[in-house]
Amino acid sequence: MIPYIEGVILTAGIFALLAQGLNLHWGFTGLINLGHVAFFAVGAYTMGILNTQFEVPLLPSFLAAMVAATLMGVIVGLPAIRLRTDYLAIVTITIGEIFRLILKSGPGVSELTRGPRGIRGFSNDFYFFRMDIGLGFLSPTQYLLLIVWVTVAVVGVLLYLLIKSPWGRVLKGIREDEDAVRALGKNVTAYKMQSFALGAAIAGLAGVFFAMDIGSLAPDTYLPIITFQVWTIMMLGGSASHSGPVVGSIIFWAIFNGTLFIPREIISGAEAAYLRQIGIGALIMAIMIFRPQGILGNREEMALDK
Amino acid sequence: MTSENGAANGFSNGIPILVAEDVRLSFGGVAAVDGATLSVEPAKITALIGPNGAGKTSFFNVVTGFYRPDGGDISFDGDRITGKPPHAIARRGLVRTFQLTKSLARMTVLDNMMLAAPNQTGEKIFTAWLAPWVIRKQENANREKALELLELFNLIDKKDDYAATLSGGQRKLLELARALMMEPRMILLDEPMAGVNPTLGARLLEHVGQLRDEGMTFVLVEHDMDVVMNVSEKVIVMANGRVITEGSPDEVRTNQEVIDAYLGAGGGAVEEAIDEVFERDRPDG
Repeated sequence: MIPYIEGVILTAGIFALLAQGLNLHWGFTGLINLGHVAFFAVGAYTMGILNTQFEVPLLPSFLAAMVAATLMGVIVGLPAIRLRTDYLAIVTITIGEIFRLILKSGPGVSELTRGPRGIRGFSNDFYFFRMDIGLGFLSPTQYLLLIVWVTVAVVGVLLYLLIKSPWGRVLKGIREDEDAVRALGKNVTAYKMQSFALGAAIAGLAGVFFAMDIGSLAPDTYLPIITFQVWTIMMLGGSASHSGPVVGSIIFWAIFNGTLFIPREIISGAEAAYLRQIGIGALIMAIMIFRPQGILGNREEMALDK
Repeated sequence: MTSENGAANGFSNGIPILVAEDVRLSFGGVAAVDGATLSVEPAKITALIGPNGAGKTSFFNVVTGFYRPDGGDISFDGDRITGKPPHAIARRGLVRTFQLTKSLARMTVLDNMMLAAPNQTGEKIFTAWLAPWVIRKQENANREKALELLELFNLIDKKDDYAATLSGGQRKLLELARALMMEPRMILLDEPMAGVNPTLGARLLEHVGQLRDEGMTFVLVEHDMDVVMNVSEKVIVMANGRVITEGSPDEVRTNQEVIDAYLGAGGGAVEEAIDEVFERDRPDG
């Protein structure tokens, strides 16, 4: 039971990271990104490919994963220069799906990604590394859990400082009205790209941790549902709130896995699996009706019209 | 109000601060701006008038870089700015406001002001993390300046409120105050009086007049002829994307071409309508 709960907390941490990145895009910059899973995937695959096929050591492959996700962020950000709202949503969701299909069967790419067969064998170094730094007393899951949550904390502090800075003020301005911000002498395009790139880098890192958690990479892990789960987490916690992604992720995964604790005499395992989906759906509806700003969002801010 | 504005006074020897030559802009087959040529003298208030669809706002959008012109040349203070992006033009000191005010609703009034301050070190992503002491110093200076302006514009009590809670008139004041944060040399006001109650409107015009006295250049698009005739030293009239005439308010008021442009072909009701647009609103009559 304890290892299972550890696993849930680990997943919650990885998705908190994803939501922190998305919150930068949507909550603070107002950019609709429905292709977040692509950054998640590009991080995971970059690390996996470099580690297994080019024998790049662990840490450099982590950094490369973030760099690759940053570049991906810039690519996805390009249409955002001109597109807003629903149009941007359509383009980003498409990019996410295209990327998954390229990983799966893209000419020249599928040799690297091994297509649907996937990649394994990159996580051993990572887990053995805990012995070298004196954390051998932790189980692999506990070790990854520790690293993930420390990362969540560090990213949280860095984002907090950044959003409080004049840089963050420009992003909020863009969220409210990008033409007004242009008229105030700010290079809006550059800020949008930076927001996309930084949020993507965070998601890329989350992808690396996720890959370490499951120990293998397969294209069909990275379905759009992941993006929607991250959106749910962000809305649940409260967009434009710094602790929202963390709280949202913990609650989301608690409900998602909570159905397993219902005794089997009451419902079967298959029924429990449906119940979790129903639970999440009901939760989204309840939040939208009773607390549209999310658990930690700013109600006053939410109630204001533009 | 600042030394920069004082310096602008030095230009008021007839050398125009803004020159637009044969500016063209079309949307599909419709020529919104069809070869507009005009110049604006520094430290003066110039009104840009014309019937709806004359191309005034389109012209503003071209001058401030929001639209790329199909042809023509625009120079500001001797430098060619044609086709430059909006932020680059704003940074040169040519700042605009919008017809529909663009207050940043879910930001406080003070944050609206602080955002507009130019050359902020903390607006670069890495210095935002790495140089907090530089930022703190700049922020304090900018805050001081912002509070001073808010005081002047009677918005000081609202400084911590969301901009969305301001009235229409207060938003117009905020937009002007925010533009001043950028230390501009010229401000383009797009219908500053639209939807503003008379008291706030009068205050806004008072500020505009004072700033002009201190050396600021203004161009305003305005439909309220009372305002146009009262505050502006020069009136430029546009119709069908072209400048049809320009001159002092009195010259323009009696110009037959202007009257035609506003009212189309002559007829029995024309004289009456002219009265309505010009005569009745005549400040001294």
